[in-house]
Amino acid sequence: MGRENRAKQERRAGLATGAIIIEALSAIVREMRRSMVRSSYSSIIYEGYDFSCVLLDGAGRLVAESGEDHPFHLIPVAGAVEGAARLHGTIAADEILLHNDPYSGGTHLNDVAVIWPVTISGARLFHIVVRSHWGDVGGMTPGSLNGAATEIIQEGLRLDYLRLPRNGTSELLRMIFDNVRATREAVADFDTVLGICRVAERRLADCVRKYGADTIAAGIEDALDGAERRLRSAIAELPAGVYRHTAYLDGNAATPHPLTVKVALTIEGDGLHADFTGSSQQVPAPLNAGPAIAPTSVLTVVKSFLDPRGAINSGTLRAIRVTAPEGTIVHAKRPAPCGGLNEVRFACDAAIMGALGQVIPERMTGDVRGTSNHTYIGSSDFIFYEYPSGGTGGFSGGDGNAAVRAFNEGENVSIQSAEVVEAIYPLRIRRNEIRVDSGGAGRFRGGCGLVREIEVLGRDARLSVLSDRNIIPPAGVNGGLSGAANRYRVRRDGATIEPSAFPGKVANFPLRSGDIVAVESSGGGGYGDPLKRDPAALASDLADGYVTEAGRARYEASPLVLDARADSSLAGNAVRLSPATAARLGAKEGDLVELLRELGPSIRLWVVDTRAAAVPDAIIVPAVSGLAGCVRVQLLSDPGRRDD
Amino acid sequence: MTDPQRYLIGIDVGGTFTDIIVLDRTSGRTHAAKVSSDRAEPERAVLEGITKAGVPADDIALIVHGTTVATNALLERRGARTALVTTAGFRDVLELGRTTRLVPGTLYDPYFRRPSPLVPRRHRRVVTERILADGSVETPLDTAALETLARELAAEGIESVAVGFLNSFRNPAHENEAAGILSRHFAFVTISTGVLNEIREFERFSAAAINAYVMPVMARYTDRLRQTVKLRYRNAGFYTIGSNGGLLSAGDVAAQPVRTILSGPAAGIAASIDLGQTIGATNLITYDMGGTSTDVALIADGVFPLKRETLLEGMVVRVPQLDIHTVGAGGGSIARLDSGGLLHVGPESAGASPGPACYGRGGTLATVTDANVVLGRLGGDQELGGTLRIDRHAAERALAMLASAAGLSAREMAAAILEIAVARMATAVHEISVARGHDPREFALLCYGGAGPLHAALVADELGIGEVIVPPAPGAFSARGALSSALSKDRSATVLLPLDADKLATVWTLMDGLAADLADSFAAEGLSPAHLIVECQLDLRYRGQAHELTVTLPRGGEIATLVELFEIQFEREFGRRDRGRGIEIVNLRAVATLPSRKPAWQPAVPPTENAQPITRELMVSGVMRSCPVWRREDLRGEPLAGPLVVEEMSATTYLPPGWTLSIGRAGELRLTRSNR
Repeated sequence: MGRENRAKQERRAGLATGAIIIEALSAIVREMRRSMVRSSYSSIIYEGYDFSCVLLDGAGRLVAESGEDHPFHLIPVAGAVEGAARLHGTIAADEILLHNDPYSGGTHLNDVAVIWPVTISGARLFHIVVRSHWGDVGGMTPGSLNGAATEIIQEGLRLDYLRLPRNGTSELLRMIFDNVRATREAVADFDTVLGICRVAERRLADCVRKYGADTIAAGIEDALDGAERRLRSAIAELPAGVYRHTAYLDGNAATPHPLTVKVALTIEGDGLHADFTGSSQQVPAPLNAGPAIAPTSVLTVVKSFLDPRGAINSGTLRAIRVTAPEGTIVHAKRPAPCGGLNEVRFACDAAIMGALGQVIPERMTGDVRGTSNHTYIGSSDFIFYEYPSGGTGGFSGGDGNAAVRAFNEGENVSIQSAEVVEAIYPLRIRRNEIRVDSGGAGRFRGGCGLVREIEVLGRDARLSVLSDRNIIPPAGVNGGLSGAANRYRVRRDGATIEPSAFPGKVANFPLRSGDIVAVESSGGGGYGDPLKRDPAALASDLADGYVTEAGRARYEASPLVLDARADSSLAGNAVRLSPATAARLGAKEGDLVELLRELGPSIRLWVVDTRAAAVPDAIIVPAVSGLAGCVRVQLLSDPGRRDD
Repeated sequence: MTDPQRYLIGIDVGGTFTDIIVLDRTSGRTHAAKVSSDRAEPERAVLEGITKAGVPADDIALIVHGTTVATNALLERRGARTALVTTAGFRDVLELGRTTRLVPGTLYDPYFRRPSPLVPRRHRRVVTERILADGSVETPLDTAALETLARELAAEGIESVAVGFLNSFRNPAHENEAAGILSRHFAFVTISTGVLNEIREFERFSAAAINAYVMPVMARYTDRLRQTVKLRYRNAGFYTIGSNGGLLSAGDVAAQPVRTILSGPAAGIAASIDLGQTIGATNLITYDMGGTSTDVALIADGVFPLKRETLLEGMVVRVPQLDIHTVGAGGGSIARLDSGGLLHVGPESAGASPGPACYGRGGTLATVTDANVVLGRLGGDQELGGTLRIDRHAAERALAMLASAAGLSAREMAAAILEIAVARMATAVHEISVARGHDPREFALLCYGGAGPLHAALVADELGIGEVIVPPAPGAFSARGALSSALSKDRSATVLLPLDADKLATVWTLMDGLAADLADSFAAEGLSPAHLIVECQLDLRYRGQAHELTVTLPRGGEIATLVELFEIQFEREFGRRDRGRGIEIVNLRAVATLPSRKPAWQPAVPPTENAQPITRELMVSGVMRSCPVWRREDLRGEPLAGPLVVEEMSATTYLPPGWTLSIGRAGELRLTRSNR
């Protein structure tokens, strides 16, 4: 079907109606967003923007957002009304729902959604949803999220479509607020959310009066249909086929290392199917995600690379199909903790980017931070929370940006003003700078991460961190190198100490007055062969200090070129080296190496054997990797050896 | 005989044209002139414009201008080679910000490139010093290192230096000390507390960097202009309109050019307020529709609308400036069908070149202007801007091409495009009115800019607004605004005090100090502060919130009054009160204005001949019908019922059915909805 024919698809309303209705509804969401920022009491909302507002129609379909909302807050909402109906049947007009349960469509427990049904003249026309990050929802550490949880009960309260009267007074609420830390902010901001929903409900009533419910319904249908056709037509331009890629998470001390997210991406006609079968079984660590997350990831990445300006709504969601087997880290069941759902989502993103990177390699970018970097410093008196952004990936025609929200991360503020921090917390910010040499080398360099050093002034403070890609760094593409991995350390009396045995997963590490917590966020992956970087661009990087003399070598020395030989007996992420090759690489068993391809995503493999009898220049790779012939090989890191 | 008080000259320097308006105080008459703008040497157009005004040099009392010099230098990155000197450990605040993109419409874009910071990393340098959050000095400024750094920067060809130290809003001693040292090496030095004395280092350093970046450009421009003006027009005062609608002296502009970023649009708002006072319309929504975008602003009770923070191409500009909302829909906005069959209007624009298809300059894509041509509302023999003849066939071809892809006729497509464009502009008005607690039905829509009057009544219909005002000479409206403003200066300080009775005395003491500073500053420019009007403002918030609302503090007002003023405003904006919560004073601000003698608006000159309108086929409510088309100067003042069109050199007004047209006391067109 050609474009023209598609454009003539049946319409339910006038050509302009869909656009006008969506514009009017989006304006209401934008007002909600602005009011949240300007009248809330939690710094995570007013400084961090860690919330999203969404409008669903009466049937629960996602129809409008503000254009600034976070994809991972937004897309899972599309299943909320269906989930609630499964549990309760119908919701009364004077009720609201509270929801944060990952197993029934939530994200992590800290993201609490208020779902406010709008009933006009007896008809359920809309649902207003505000999903906001609560500073604390109970659990084992201040702030709730931590790297050491083994079951969800340690991450706080689960709220599975709880029904509440909408006047905000109920015994249930009293119980909830008695079981979270930072109760004052939680209560005040719950009232803020209710106030905002009330105003939005009035706006929706005005809208219905102006246009009529039937016109609105017809306009929504047209808009959803159009958005679906638009994404499908972008998919239809891709060559049909099945494209596979595997991405990894570091895991933690209680899990296998690494954890895997596997995807088989099938493109056929104007449809796309992402099958995550083969991903790791769920783990007793906060590195699991509920069923809403894999679809969120697929839609975010597909839309970003195929049609970044297209809509996000239930129409676009119809264009993709996702299979995520229950009991895996991409579709976890009770009691798996899901605090690090974003870590899993980023691994899903990396897997899909790797698969798409085989379809449209020139349009792919180096990978991004791959974790939220949840960083908490807290005591009984305060909770300081940040999630420092990393550098973004290089792409054909441009370097990545230094520490900024990436395409898959919304517009949340990830670090606070140092002056505001110092005014309200017993903390002093000692450093807030670009992390030099952290951007993945490439013809187009990955963006640098940032370094943040936070001095603790009071006693009794503890550090909790939930971060990933502290071992396995963000990958480059088309021959570009990886960015530097995320890193957390504490400096005490001039010495550097590790706050946890397993990097990036910290729970309640006791801090002393005078300790400095040093956070380094990852650099983005590079794009293309670093040797092909424009010398003027390299000179400019050196002058600006994004690259130092020490980091220059990666633009001047080529990685080892080896002859890849397939071995069908090897596991998918394993590699064998001859003693000579191992010596040349400086690799030993357990090390992570990266195979760079001229076109397409890099492949990560772990050294299982350094005594392979083979010709010196060979490397034995798993047959399923599809690699053969000359490959460039780079030693990445050794999880057992902490470099400095 | 010369009269050194006779003429006032207002100038609006636009991207393409520089508009000049001359007011003769003796006769009360104005006349307008237009010259081409000069991008390379903008002062030339200004001087040429004054010459073209053709009045005796010694009779000019006042020259006021709105300028986009600083704005263009900033947006086109043509500012000075600038360095930023900052606290050790904080070299990259300017680039990192708080890690957000700060460019709307870039979510989901994997190829987003953050606009490069005004000061590249190599020119961002650190020096050892540290002030703590309570204002105490932890580490003194290393003056020897700063001396060395200054010499290095000078050797690197740096022309302008910004200084931003952490916590300097609590104690500016180190910034002042650094300024002293740097001033021995550089002609242009900006300290962050000198432009924004408030908490949050990214915003404050940004303000300093922007100021430093445009300072040399602006200094060269104003110096040349001021010197020539002084030489040629010895009796004329010379001022620039600031982003907050107040007039800035040449000294203010030289020290704080960051305050002129929205100088141009501010002039239009000043003119609106002034016209509104004359014609008894103090509640106005201004509607300025241009080629690529539309600006709207809300004036309640004749008060100039201000906001404290504006995003500009990835930069945060946090100085009090015009609160204007821009939407990417203008006359040149391109209509297209996406691959899903959905119709979009804008944000892509055909611009001035090639422009809409009907300009006949090679444009083939259908735009909002082309849709108006196809519906007959624009065109006939009219020449746009006096020079451009409309190519009706080109517009029809463009529309027909798009329409066939959607299975519609060209006229149906044109109507759909206009519906979307009008809806988007109505949404923009909604967001500055309804979304902030104002009922648009209590406002009149005041439109200027070429494309505004064509759509204003349609936008008003969408919002239930009953009255639309088209000022005389809508093209020269902003130039007129330059003559409507008062001299103004402000000073602020961050205090972070609870709002309670025993703190009020402290507030007044601090406020009196700020006011005294302002009076001194006027006096230093040779202006008597005797008639100074000082407004005292408090930025208040409920304790625990981060964003403030500005409340004017009535002299001698009780605490209860202040709480009520704050809560009324809070409820208007957010639909609730958080009663019982403590309220916190974040900033104090004193705003001093020295009123000027404003020129009066004059009634329109009645036509001498009894001219009749021509007729043209217009699309009205879905059918084509023959409607009158008037020349504005032929209107005699008796009410006329729509549908009709009024044409003049710089604009075309469309009056839909159900609307009545009359002429107001300042010569403005008044469009009134009769079918309420």
